[in-house]
Amino acid sequence: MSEIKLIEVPKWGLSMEEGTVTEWLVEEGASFSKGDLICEIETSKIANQLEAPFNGVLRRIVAKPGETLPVGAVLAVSAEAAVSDAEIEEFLAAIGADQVPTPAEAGGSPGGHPAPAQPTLESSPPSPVAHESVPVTETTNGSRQRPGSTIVPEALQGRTNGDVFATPHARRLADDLSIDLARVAGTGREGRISVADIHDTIRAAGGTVAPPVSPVRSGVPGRSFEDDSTVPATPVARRLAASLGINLHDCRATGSRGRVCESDVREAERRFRLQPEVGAAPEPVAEAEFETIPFTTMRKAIGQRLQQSKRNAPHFRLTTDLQIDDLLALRKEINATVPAVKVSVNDFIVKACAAALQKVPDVNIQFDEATQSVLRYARADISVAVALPSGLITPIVRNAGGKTLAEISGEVQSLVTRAKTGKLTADEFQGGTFTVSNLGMFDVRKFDAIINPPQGAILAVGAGQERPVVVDGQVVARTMLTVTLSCDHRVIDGALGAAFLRELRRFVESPALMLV
Amino acid sequence: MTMSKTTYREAIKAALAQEMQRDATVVQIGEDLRGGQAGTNPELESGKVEAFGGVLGVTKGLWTEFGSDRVIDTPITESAIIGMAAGAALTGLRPVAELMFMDFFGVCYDALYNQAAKFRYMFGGKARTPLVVRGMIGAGFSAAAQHSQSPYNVFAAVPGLKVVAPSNAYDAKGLLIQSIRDDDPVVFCEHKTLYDVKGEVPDDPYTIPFGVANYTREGTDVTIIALSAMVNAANTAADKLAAEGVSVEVVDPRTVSPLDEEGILESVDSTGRVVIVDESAARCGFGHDVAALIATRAFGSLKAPIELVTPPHTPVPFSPVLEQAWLPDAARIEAAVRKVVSA
Amino acid sequence: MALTKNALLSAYRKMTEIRAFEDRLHEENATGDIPGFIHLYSGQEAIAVGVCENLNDTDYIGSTHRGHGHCIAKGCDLNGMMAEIFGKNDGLCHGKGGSMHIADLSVGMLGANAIVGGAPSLAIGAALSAKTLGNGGVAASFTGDGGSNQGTVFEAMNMAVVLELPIVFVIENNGFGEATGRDYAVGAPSIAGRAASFGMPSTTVDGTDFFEVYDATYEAVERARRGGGPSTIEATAHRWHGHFEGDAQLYRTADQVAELRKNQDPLMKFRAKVIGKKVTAKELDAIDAEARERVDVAVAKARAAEYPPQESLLSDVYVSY
Repeated sequence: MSEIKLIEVPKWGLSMEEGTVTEWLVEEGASFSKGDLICEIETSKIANQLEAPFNGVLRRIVAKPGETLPVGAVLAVSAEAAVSDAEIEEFLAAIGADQVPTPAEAGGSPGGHPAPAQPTLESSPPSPVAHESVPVTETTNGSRQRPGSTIVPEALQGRTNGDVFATPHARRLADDLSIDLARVAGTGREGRISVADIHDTIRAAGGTVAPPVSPVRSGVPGRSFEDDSTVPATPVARRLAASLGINLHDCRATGSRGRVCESDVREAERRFRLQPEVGAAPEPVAEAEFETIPFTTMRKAIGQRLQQSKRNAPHFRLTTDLQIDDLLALRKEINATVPAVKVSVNDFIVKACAAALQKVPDVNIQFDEATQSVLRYARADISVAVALPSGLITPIVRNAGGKTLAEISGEVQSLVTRAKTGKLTADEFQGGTFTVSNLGMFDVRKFDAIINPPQGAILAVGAGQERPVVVDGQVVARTMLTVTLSCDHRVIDGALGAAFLRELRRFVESPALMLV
Repeated sequence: MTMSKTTYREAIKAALAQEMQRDATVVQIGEDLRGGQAGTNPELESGKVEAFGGVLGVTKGLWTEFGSDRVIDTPITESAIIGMAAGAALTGLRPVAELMFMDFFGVCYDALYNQAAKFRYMFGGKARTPLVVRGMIGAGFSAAAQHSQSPYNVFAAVPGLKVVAPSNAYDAKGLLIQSIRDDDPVVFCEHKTLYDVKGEVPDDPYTIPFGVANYTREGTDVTIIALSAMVNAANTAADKLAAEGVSVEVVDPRTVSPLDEEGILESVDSTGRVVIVDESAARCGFGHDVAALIATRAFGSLKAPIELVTPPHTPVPFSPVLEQAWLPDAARIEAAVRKVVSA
Repeated sequence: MALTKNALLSAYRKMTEIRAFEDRLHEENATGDIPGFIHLYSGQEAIAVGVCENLNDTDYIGSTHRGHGHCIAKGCDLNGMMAEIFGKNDGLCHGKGGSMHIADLSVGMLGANAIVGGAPSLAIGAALSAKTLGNGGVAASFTGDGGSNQGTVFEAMNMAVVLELPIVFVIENNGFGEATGRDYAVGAPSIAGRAASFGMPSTTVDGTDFFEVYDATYEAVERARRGGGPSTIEATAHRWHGHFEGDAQLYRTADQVAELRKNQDPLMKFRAKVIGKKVTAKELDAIDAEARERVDVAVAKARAAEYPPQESLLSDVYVSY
């Protein structure tokens, strides 16, 4: 009896446990010589091509591309033409080729070289092999193939001679599949044969057509390469675009006189940036203890900014407790009397901060690292921290001091919704002069936050809790809320921070002051 | 079949002449097809001089060969020209009416839009209107705003009309002969900047079916769909990109209506990246029609958003520097390909 | 011009058919069963018939939106017309055209035309065909006084003169273009005069007098057939109904319309001229009755007929696509 030889998953390196076949370089039925490259295998460390360990004819591919198999598992069967398909079937059945592999059976042949043993029918141990997730079917022309590939019935095979009216892609396909177009029915104009016609004819003759595979899309729009020096843009926008490497053709033009303005450039930047990274292949999962989560662009960005903030800005923290019974009562009254409005404690805090910033404008600032200068703002643009599944974002309530509680409430709700659906525009979350971060809904009593650059300070708000306090020598229960102000000591000193907190207390503990 | 190096202009003339020889019902109607009626040059009387032969010389010689009964010069009355041609088509002739510049369709559009296009349908299939309206399209000669437009997108939107826009001499002759033999009204758009471009053209008559696109080059990375004069720009861009290893497939639909949807979609399915370059309009143009076709029928094959290269939404400017900026060119097509490849 | 008895009866038959058809449509339309717009010809019968009695099936006419009269005069089948107006599959256009686009090329009817001033340029096309093919045919186009101001009409007239086309331009001056009187809309004192200035013979006749129309057309058609080029005939008559069915006609009074019906009836004028000379009143009455009966049959058939099938929506846009 002629020899049936197995091609197995090699062991490349001591730590290799398994490999994934990514591509077969030799077709079923083709012969190969020792040293020929027969397939590509990827491991957790490398991708490499497998050299044929002997001369042979590739009779049966057992491992499908994409299948991960342990070292030593059967990849393919080689045998001379004289060996019948039936014999190969028997052989595979005998070595357990039709079984589903169990994960515990990892670790095939020991030793460090890829040459497989030469098993005979009697002595080969059962090894876990091809994961037959797709049933193998017999097609009309007798060949066993997996569905999901294109199989051309013999009746259609041949070469196209002479002039046949067909689309260029139909011709190419016919060449690739060795189809004689004279045997294909054309349904197009003037009887033209299309790719679809070839597919229909294959199916009608009993063959199969591989289903189309949708391409992997990055989701990131392409970038323009055209010269953008003639695109109308504000000088700020043009500089910013240049520094960010953004082509002005990719920006909308919503600025005055139809020019691209700064926010348009920011929006384009966001569009190119805010897509999660694709193509970072996760490690094969088999039985790992941990899951590797790709570091998304957003996480990276948050990480970088906050690290930079912590590194550059010398943080110091001031903590105080605020009594919010009056505030809660006012809130209750407002919510009861004004039906459309549902003001939250945080809305009050935002308004109070804006009012306090009006009184202590030296805290209402941004610090420009590039020019090492302090920009003091007249209006308080308060960023509100919003937690998203993918990270943290801080949409801004602009001119919070000039807005009513109802307006602040509505705006915060809208910003939060849009933040969660990813619909914020750049200037809705970039900039701001002060941030309020509230973890009260998680019952956190006290915490301190990292300043949101380029701002100078951030207020961390805890949960309102009933606590015992001493009033006029008596211990009474009051609702208290602990806030911690983190300041950048380069631009805000302790006394200034304290002054701000004093103003904040005034407005929070006597909320009526916020209404005048 | 013998071929000759022929200009686009000569190819069109050959089509007209050969069809008029073959079929006595084919007549030409238009302004100054010969020119010189009631002119004062005594040479005109001898009947051997063609004062114009068409404003860019396309019909020169036809009057000499076929006479006033078959090559009919008219006053400058477009609506009567097209209307008359439509009526004649209904009643036994196969007229080829010249609308000198397609821009002029404004003064005669009813005859095409409400009459010729709709006779067959309105009359329950009992009428045939084998009319050809041929005319010039396209910018590039500083002919300014009213003589440089390409309104084939407007005509293609009209059910009942067929619209043809060949990009080279070979296609021009075959498609014009097909247009004349076709039993439906055909608007045949000749790009004025192509008249002197030469190509290999068979000497004998031949037809090219409508609705069959031509691939000027085959490739695997990107599809450029281009029409009429834009095909040359696309080919130029493709050559440059090929040198950098970007394999471009250029699809020339040749006929706007009927449109070779299959030919376009097969290419998109294969490359997954599309740039459409079209001179007709910045809004509601032919390019937009093709983009919608691709987005609805080949979305799953797309690897990147579709790129459209069109003129801006302005009339065609006169000054050459402005007109060149208005026209899509190889550089803009190349930039669009790079963008689509980078996504 | 002396017409034979048969010719007289034939002419009267056509005119009274038009009268019966249009009057019946007026009633049928009021039931709401007729889709879209109809424009009735009653009062102008002598013009359509006076012209068309000079034409053969191989001569073509172009018409207007008020085209039922021209259709009948040219020989279109009454049943097919009525079915078309009701939008049925048996209509002359299989229900695809309706009242404003009734056509039958087999009897030389290029179609009613909803575009004002659209017919003359099509008709000169038919004339060009006849001239080029050398078959001795002529064409005629009908245009109203309102339509006579359209640029397309002037262009067609000039083209006809320049190319010496065998065509008769018939201007039906019924005094109104929609709701605007002729005296306001037409700047010149005479529409025929305007046509004459294009360089062709032009004449004005009483459009309520069949014989005047017939004789003028006879001359024009003969001229055209012998290669003498185009002519224009301005025929003045009156339309008895509104511009369209549903028109409140506030631009004239009911009395004025009543007066027209009484004193400007082309059928009455025809009867007055022929009764006792070659034809009896009884013969004409019988023809009236037959006409009404044929119209009754047409209505019954049209009402009973099927609407077009769904496939009809997509058919016949092109010969082939």
